[in-house]
Amino acid sequence: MKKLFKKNDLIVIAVILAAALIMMIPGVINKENLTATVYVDGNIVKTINLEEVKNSYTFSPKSGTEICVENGAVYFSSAVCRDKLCIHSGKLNKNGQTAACLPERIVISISSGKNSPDMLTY
Amino acid sequence: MENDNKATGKKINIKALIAISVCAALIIGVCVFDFVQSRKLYSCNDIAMNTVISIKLYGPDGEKNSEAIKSEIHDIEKNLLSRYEDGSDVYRINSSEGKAVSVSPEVASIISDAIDISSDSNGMFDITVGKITELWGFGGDNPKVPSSDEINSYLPYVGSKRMKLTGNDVIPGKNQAVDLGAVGKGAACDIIRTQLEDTRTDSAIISVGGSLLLYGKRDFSIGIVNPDNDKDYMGTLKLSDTCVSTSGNYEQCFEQSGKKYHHILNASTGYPAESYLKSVTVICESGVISDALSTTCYIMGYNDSSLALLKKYKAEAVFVTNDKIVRCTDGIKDSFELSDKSFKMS
Repeated sequence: MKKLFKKNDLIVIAVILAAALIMMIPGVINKENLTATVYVDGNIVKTINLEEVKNSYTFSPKSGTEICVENGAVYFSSAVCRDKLCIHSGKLNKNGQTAACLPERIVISISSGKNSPDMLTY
Repeated sequence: MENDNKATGKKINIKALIAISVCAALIIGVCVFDFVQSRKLYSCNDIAMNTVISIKLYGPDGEKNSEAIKSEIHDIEKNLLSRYEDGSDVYRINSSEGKAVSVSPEVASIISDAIDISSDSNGMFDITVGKITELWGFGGDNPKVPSSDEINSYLPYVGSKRMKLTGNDVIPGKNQAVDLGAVGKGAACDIIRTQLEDTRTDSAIISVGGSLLLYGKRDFSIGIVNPDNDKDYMGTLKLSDTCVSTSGNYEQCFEQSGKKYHHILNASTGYPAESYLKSVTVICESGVISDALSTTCYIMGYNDSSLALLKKYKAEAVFVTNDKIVRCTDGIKDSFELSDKSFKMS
C-alpha cells in the first residue's frame, strides 16, 4: 500500500504547523517596545519609541505645555495650567502609566508588549 | 483490468488529497482570520468626566467602536451625571428646590443602588452629601478645610432617606445636593458594557478614571496602584468579564496646616474617613456597585461589617492598610499577586 504523504510533504506540513503554533504564542504577534503616545483632545499627536531615544529633547504638543522625552521615560516639564498636577505626575517609564493635563486636555500614555499589567486601577 | 484499478485508485488518492488540502486550507484560513481579528488591538485615550479615559478594544472595527465609546462617555457626563452641566439629570435634581424631577432610567437605577448601599452602611456612604463636598472643594482650584460650623449647617440634611425615588422621579430632600462622583465612573462602565454588546468586539478593557470595565472572556492583568507612588503598582489581579474600582487616600488630596486631607468623605461626619486604610479595590460584576463599595469599604475600614457588605453584593476586595498589609477576600486570593515586596500579605 502506497503512503498518502511522502517524507518531504510531511516536513512541509510540520513546518507550516510549527509556524502557526509559534504565531499563536501570546506576545509574539504584538511584540513592541516601550512606547509613549501623546493625545490632545483625544487625538494622537505623537508616538515615541522610548527605547530608541538617544538624546533627551522637549516638544510642545500645545502652546504653553512642554513634554520632555528621555531614553525610557517621558514627562510633562512645563505647563500653563494652575495646579501643575501634570508636572507633579513625574516620569512615566512603565507600561500602563498615564499622565494628563486635564485643563489642556493632553494625555501621555505608555504602552508595551512586555509582561506588565494591561491597565492600572486607582 | 488490474492496471485500470490501480489507475483509478491513484486518481481517487490524488482527488482526495486535493479535496483534503482545500478543506484544510479553508479551515485554517478561517481560523487564522478569526484569531487575528479577535487579537487585533485598538487603543486610545481621552479626557472626559474630569478624568482620563483609556480604551483597549480587541476585535474588528476598533477605531469606530472606540469613537462611539468616547462619544457615549461625553454624553453620560453632559446629559446624566455632571453637577455643573445645565440640563444634566444631576444638575436638574440639585436645582429642583424640592420638586419632582424625571430622570433617565440609568440615573434612576444608579440612585436606587446608591440608596441601598447608604442604608447598608448606616449612612457612612451617601450621595446626598453634595453640599458638604462643595465646601471642601476637592478636585477644584482651591480645596480647603471648611469650618465645623459650615459642615454642621449642612450635615443634618444629609441622608438618602430624605430623598424620594419613585420610578424615574426623584424628589431631593431640603438642602440636599446629589453628588454621584463616587459611583459615576462605575456607572459609565456599566453603560459602555451594554454598548459593547451590540458590537463584534471580542474583549475590551476600559478605564474611566481608574474604574475598570473588563469585557469578554480574555484574562486581563490589572495592576493595583501603589498608594505610596501612584505611578507604580503594588500587585496584580488576573481577571475577566467584571468591573474593578479602587478608592484611595492618594487621590484628590491636599495639605493644610501640615495635615493631609483626602477626598473620601464619611457622609455621617462630613469629614474625610479615617479607617486605617490606604486603599480598597473592589471587584464586582456591576460597575456602580464596585465603585460604591470601594468608597464604602474605605470609609468603614477592614472589619466584619465591610466583609458582610461585600458578601451581600457578591463582591471581592483587596484592602491595603496604613502599615502596608494587604488583605484579600477569599474569592480573590488566588488571582492576586504581590509585586512590591515592601507590602506584606496578611
